[in-house]
Amino acid sequence: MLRIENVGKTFGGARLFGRGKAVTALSDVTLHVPRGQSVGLVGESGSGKTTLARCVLLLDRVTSGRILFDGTDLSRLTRREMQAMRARIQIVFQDPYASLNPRMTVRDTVAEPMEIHRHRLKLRAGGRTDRVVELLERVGLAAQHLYRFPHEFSGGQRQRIGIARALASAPELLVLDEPTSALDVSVQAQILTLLTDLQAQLGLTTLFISHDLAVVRYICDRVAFLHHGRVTEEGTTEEVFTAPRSDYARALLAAMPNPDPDRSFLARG
Amino acid sequence: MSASLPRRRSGLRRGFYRFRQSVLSMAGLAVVMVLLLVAVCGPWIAPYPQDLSGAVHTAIRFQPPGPAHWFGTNELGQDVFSLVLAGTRISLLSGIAVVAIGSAVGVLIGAVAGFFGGLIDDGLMRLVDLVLTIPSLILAMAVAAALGPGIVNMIAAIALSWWPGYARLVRAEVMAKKNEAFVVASTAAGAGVVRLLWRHILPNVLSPVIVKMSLDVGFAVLTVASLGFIGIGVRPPAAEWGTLLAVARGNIPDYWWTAIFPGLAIFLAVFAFNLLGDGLRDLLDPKARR
Amino acid sequence: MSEPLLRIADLHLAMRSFDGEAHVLNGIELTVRAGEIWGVVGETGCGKSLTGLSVSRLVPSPPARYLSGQILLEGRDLLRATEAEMRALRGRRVGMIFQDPTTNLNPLFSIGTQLIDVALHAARHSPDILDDAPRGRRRRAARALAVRMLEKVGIRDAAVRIDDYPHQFSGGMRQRVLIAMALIGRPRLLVADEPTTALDVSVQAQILQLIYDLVRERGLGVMFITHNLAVVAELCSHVAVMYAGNVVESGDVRAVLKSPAHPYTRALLAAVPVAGTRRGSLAGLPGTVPSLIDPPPGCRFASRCASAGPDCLGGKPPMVPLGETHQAACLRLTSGAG
Repeated sequence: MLRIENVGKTFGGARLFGRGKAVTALSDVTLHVPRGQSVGLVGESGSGKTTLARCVLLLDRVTSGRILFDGTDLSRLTRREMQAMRARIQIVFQDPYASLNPRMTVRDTVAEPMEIHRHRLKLRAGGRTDRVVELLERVGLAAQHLYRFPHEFSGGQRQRIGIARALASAPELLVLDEPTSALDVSVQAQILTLLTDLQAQLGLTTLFISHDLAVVRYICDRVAFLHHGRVTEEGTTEEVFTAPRSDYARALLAAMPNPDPDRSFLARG
Repeated sequence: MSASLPRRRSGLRRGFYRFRQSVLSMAGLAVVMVLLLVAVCGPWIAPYPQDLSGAVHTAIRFQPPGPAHWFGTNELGQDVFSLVLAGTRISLLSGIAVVAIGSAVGVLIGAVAGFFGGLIDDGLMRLVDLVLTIPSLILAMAVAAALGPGIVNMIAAIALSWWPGYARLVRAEVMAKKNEAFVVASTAAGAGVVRLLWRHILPNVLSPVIVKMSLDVGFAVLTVASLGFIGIGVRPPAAEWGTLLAVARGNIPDYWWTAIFPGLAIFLAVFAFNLLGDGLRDLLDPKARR
Repeated sequence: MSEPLLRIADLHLAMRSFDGEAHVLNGIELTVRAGEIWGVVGETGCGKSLTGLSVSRLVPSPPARYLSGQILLEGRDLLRATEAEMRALRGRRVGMIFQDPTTNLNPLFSIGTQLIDVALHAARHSPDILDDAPRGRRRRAARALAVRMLEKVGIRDAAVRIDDYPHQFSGGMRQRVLIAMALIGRPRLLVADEPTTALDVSVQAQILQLIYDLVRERGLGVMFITHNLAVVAELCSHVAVMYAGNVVESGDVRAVLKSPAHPYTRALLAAVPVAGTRRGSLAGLPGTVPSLIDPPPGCRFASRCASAGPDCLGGKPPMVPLGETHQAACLRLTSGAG
């Protein structure tokens, strides 16, 4: 489905006046996201996981290597093809407060991707509203929420709106950029349940970016660890979590706190 | 801990609440409303409408303020109250026109510069710097000299020096907003430049622009009056506060009322728009509160 | 058992807002003894941070208003102390660390300057912090102490790095500096409000280890405020679970997390994925926290509780003792073994 092959990304370098120092965000990253599966991308701040997501979303161009989506090389797309591709790859953001336009109603926010891709989706304005209602119900909201503004919702509800928007253009790949890390645990559990349900119902392929190992272990089929722009470990979730091969993965897993007090890594007196 | 309230009320309603709590903001709003009303129907409510079209009554020159002439009469025996009322229209509307044109141009240029960045930004911002180096009064005088005096020329001339402030403000706001997650989300959904700017970015940068506009109307009124005062704006007999003041300059201190009332009108307008602007800032832009 | 370092008794706090006055703390009970690390857990808006700030009396009032209760720090009621007395206590009796290590350091001064200021302030009330150094030598003594503290929290080359500015440190290092700053006045009680939430897991582990070691070495009492149950399990000796301004369950960390009695604690634990959690089996908590402006009578959790009945709305449920320290406030306590 999604094949990331030897991707490198460098920022900076030549500028109009003088030369900036080039920063390597990704080097030689190879990752495969099979259709219908959920692949976790784990890394700490500065590991390059957000940069990789931006490249997949066509927001940044890769410096080297290539990203294949369904066999198409994303960096060779024409403007028109890129536009069409954007309907097929969507994203849910971390911060439910920043990711919704505060001056747009829920209806307009969720309907926007349908408006943009109206020629492909073939939906008239009335049909779009019906589809918004359908999407809202799918993510656990209702028609009564159509004409409200983001500030009238809690964090969990906003994240549901964000998910409805991401689903609006009927994408095949969903990039989830830390979708629950800004939420309370009880709300996180609801959103994770929603995501697993949606994945089962819609046959979505997801790239789940997170620093929360427990969440990744719970929701992902495969997992890759990213460290300083390189993939240090990749495999099925079970393999990686029970028998990590790289030092980095072992260190990270050891540092992960466990909700069982008897398994605390701190020596107890 | 504000998130403890599951149903928070709209920020705007909180703003209105604060606005209503502030006596000064309400006073500013009230005065602005009265001024706008007078600007619209000033010539009709003036007690001596014939004075506005240049009637001269030499018998009652320089009458001090009294029951017949609240603000007294001038050197031509015209009712100062009527002239000040009638002047509101030109002064206020040209002030508003200046701000409207200046902000429209400024928002457009600032938005383009902030959104595209790079060379476009560099080019436009150097243009802004260039315009800012020219003093607005001198520019207006130059325009008046080239195109001749008159209201339209005067408004164009002031607006020409007025837009850079908006361009800078909007550019900075747009640059901050274009990286917000909701804009990125729309970009990732395939939105084009027009949609991003028009639906996502501009509606979210409008608040500071509206605040600045409201503060600026006062200063624009002042600038219009200044140009009238130095004689390159509105020409008599068309009543305008600055022109009234210029004519009355020779009459003080003996006939102080001919100057003090147009002056007070200018003061009131500038002051009221500033109060309103401060109130709007609290309402629309709570983070900028001092 | 020793005299408690901190005892919060029946603390009620109201907070005025645009919508009305919210009853945000509804009779908090919490006792922290030397050597104990109390995890105070709960979700956004449960009042855990306000409880922590109250210990240093840093809740701005107005809009906040203490309705009743006591905060006894080493036997002395802080709610009755004057502002001058509080200033003398902060940093010297209570140390505080917060979530964001960036905004809590002034970017314009070197960390040394900031540490020395705190040390000198504390020394004004207890000169023994600087080994009773005479007036002229205090600044030098404070600097030496700052270097020692930085070494203690694990900053290498402390004598050199003390003159660096906050931006020259990474997030984890800044949090270490803040811990040094909180402890330089030798407080007995440390209040830590989400100190590791903004940090990466590997750095979090180091900071938890540091706090743990410092507690063992200095016999500190700690109030560790967090939303992360796993962190509590890792670090804390005791835990108090808060919901909507109440402590609903508290006690020894093993007792509470291994055999939770209150329905809310159980729901919270059920929401955290662990190694064996099967996909799709994670249970969220339906509903929302009730409005605290006009809270429903009785148990504040009743509206979301699966086992609630009409009697739950009768009045605030009393704390029921379940073990040596373990207690929970619920009329329908499930047997601990579940």
